[in-house]
Amino acid sequence: MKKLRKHSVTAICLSAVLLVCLGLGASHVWAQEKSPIKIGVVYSSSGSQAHTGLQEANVIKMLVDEVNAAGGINGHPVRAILENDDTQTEKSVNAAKKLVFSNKVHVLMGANTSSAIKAIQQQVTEPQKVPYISMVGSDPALTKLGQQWYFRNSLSADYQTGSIIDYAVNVQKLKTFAMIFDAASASDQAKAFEEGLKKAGITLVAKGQFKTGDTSFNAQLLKIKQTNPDALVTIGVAPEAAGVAKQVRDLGMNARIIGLVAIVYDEYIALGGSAVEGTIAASAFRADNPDPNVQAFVKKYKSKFNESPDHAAAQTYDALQVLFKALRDAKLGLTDDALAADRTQIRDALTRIKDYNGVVGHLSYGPKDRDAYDKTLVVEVKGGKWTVVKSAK
Amino acid sequence: MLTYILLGLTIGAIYALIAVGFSLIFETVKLLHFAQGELLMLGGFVALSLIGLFGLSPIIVGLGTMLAVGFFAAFLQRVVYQSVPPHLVAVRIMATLGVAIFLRNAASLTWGAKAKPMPEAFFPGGPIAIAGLTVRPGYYWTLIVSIAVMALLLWFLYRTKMGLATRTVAYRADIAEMMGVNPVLLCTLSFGIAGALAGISGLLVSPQTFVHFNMGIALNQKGFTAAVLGGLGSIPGGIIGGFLLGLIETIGGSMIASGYQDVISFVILVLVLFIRPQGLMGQVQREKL
Amino acid sequence: MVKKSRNGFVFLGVLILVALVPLIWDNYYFLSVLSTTGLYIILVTGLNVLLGYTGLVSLGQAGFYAIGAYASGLLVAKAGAPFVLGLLLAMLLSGVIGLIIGLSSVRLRGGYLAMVTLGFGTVVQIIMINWDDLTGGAEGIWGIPAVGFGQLKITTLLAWYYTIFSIAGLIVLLTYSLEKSRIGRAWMALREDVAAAQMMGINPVHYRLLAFVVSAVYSGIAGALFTHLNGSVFPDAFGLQTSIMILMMLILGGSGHILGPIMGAAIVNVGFEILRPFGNYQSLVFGFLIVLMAIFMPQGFMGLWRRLAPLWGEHSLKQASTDQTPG
Repeated sequence: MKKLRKHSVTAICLSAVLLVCLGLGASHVWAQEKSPIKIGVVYSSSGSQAHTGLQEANVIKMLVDEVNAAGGINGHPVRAILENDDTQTEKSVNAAKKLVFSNKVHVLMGANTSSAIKAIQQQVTEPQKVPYISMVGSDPALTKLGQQWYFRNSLSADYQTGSIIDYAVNVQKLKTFAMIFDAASASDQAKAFEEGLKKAGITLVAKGQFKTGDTSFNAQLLKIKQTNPDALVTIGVAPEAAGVAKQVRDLGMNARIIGLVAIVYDEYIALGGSAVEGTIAASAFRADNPDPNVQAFVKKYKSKFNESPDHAAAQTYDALQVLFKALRDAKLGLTDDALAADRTQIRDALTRIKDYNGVVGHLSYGPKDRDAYDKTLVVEVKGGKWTVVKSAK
Repeated sequence: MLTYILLGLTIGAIYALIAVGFSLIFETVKLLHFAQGELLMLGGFVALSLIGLFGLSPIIVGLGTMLAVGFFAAFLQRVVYQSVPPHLVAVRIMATLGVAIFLRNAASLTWGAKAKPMPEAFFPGGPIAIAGLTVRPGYYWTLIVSIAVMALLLWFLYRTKMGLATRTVAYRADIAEMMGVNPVLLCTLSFGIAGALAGISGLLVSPQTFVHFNMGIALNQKGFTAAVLGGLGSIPGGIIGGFLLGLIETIGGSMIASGYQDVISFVILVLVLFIRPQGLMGQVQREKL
Repeated sequence: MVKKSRNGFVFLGVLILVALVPLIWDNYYFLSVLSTTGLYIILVTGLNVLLGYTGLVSLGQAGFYAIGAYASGLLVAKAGAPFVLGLLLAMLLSGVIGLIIGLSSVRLRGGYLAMVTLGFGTVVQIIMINWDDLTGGAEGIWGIPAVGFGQLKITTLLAWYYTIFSIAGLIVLLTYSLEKSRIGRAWMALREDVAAAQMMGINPVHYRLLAFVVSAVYSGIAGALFTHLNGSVFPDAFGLQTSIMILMMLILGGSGHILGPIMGAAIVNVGFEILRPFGNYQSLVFGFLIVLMAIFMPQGFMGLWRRLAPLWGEHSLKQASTDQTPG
């Protein structure tokens, strides 16, 4: 009797483990469907990039609902499967694996940091041959290593730096530049900017670094102050950049602050207050662009979500419209056996996208590279608002 | 140099508030509260919500924040921490870590994932210029209020009966009980006070850091280092430790490569723990924690 | 005697399960989660040696994990060394640093040690992010060539799955024999009562340092496996969150019991993936569960198991001494 009890407890524990495995297996079975077109999305609904991720998710849900209400794509419903990655690279890769292997999606989208995108490229989408579109991600390497299946629907750091440096040097006549950058998440952008400056014949007089989440930059700024630069290039995301701007003014530095796309959010102004007046930056999308296409999008987004869309939302909008176009173009079998062929068809259809006029601007996947956009605006904080000072020509 | 000192003292005041909260909890409840930074974060958000409800009234918002976070902290102690068996150190640490994760995510879901600023007009008065620095009201009010709060706390602990009871419970809970003091009540009270301290520091630090759900993590680490530096368990030690750490970090940080700044507080931590574990003002450690 | 065979029975059962699972479910994602579980079994066993057996709290295991991962990754990627050398370097480096950090346990206990190890883990991550030239900075090192033993390269996930679990199995067996040996008894004596242990001639410094070295070496091995499983290494994966997860797994599984790490790693890894349907609320629920666990199941699953032991008439003297005490 006693022996039986002992063995039964063992058996129970083992069965528990077995049940868990069964559960995973079963969910894999349930996830299979026959006719919908499946789009997998990896995004940050929590963690440091949550504000970007949530806007992406909003746009995706909005457009997928819209297209389904209009009868789907060539009669097939579209299903978006979203997975949170908590802005952690390991989790992004896991989410991508689940979407690609368990859910068997036809195309993958998302991830909100360049590291996560790179990891997904290397470990999932390139070896498994899955078309992959990201809506943010500025590391130039993402499209420079011979990737065959990836499309960047955002601005590479290389393209961001050209117009802003030109404006700073030739229009504002700034001579000496210092830089402070987020070493944990933006070192690729910092490198690209530095190289851009070198091409213009300029070397940085001082460089400081911080990491995402830092709130005090005084030590670095005090050092930079000693070199008395005309301009301070701030590379990072809006909250840190705003903190830098505030502390720059507090320390009595008059340098012009220059940034890239990552700081062009209303948040930057809200957090920085009067200190950010005069900042110039490269930008992809402006919600106050009078172009009717842009206004239609902004109105739609605002009425549904009660906030103004930022460039992550706009880039997602363009990416999906273009994806839908490609999906309509492609000959899809949409059965389990056709999965690999379908993915190839979709990828090929995407490469044919040229000269699309999106809300962010002119979009083309190729022929030079898989970067959707290559032109930026220059904007400046004037009177507490981001204003376009040079358009993307 | 004056610049460095001013900046160091301002951030040091925040460290001091966190350190004191840490020490208070450690002395009375014998717990290392890894979620102290999250209480600070809560303070920031509660303050913002209160501003939304009552407008820019510093006294109402300040007191309201302290009360709200204080009560919440007391609740945490009574309901959560007290229920964990006291002799399992690792499990207690894990409980605080679980609370920290829960609070961060709850904040992100309740108040949103974006960083939020404290309205500039909240701190009355205008900027003062000292030594080439523009000292904005947020900064000097931080110093004034935190010193006031710490003075109040010291008065409470050393000049009132309740305070004496708290210190007795911290020293020897059994003696306190014999004197008719209810240790459970006082532990809850200590947590409440520590919570209130964290709450007000969240409000004060937001001009520098903005309010967002991740703001507690780094400050937690720094606060603990400051507490250890001053002597874990000693309230005056926490105050001194906080200001000292702020100064060392600011001055030291300007001398080394900036990416490694946070290493400074770790090095200080290790040095103190090895050379003088009781810190500047603590008593010599007993073997049992 | 009875207890030994029961443990053995469960262990064998787990081994068979591990061997059979990929043959039943040919799901890549699933295999991937299980492979990660295997890595965590090694990591958590390391913490079990430190905390479960010797009573030393460490929140910095991710630091040794990182050191092992980068050491092997760099050696293979930059110097073209074979896997075995990378693994050895990982073990050596993390062992040595484990020894150094272990020195802090000579004078510190409980929460203080926890804080120092936490600081250590944080500093390792900071160094990995900032030492661009060596570690590739925040981006890490990518495209590390496939490794294997001699000509036989481990290229598929399935092969890695078996490799990881084989090594994990060996480590668990090794640890079990350590547990039963004089060394294990010395560790547990130190956990219970340092003074009494000293009177019996056990040198606390020696054994504590040994515990640190063993747990660091285990973590280093896991690190090397991580790097070559993924073909890349980046600092993101080695943060405080990871150290906390390891602690969580140990406590949930049952600290101090040889099977604790296996149970804990399996439940948490698989459980976290199961929590996916919670979407935005995933991490929130996770935090909540940790707190529940601390209150209602501080002894973990194996602790529950032990409590059930009287049901089948086993009254082991070990029973009383396997509760944790600070020290």
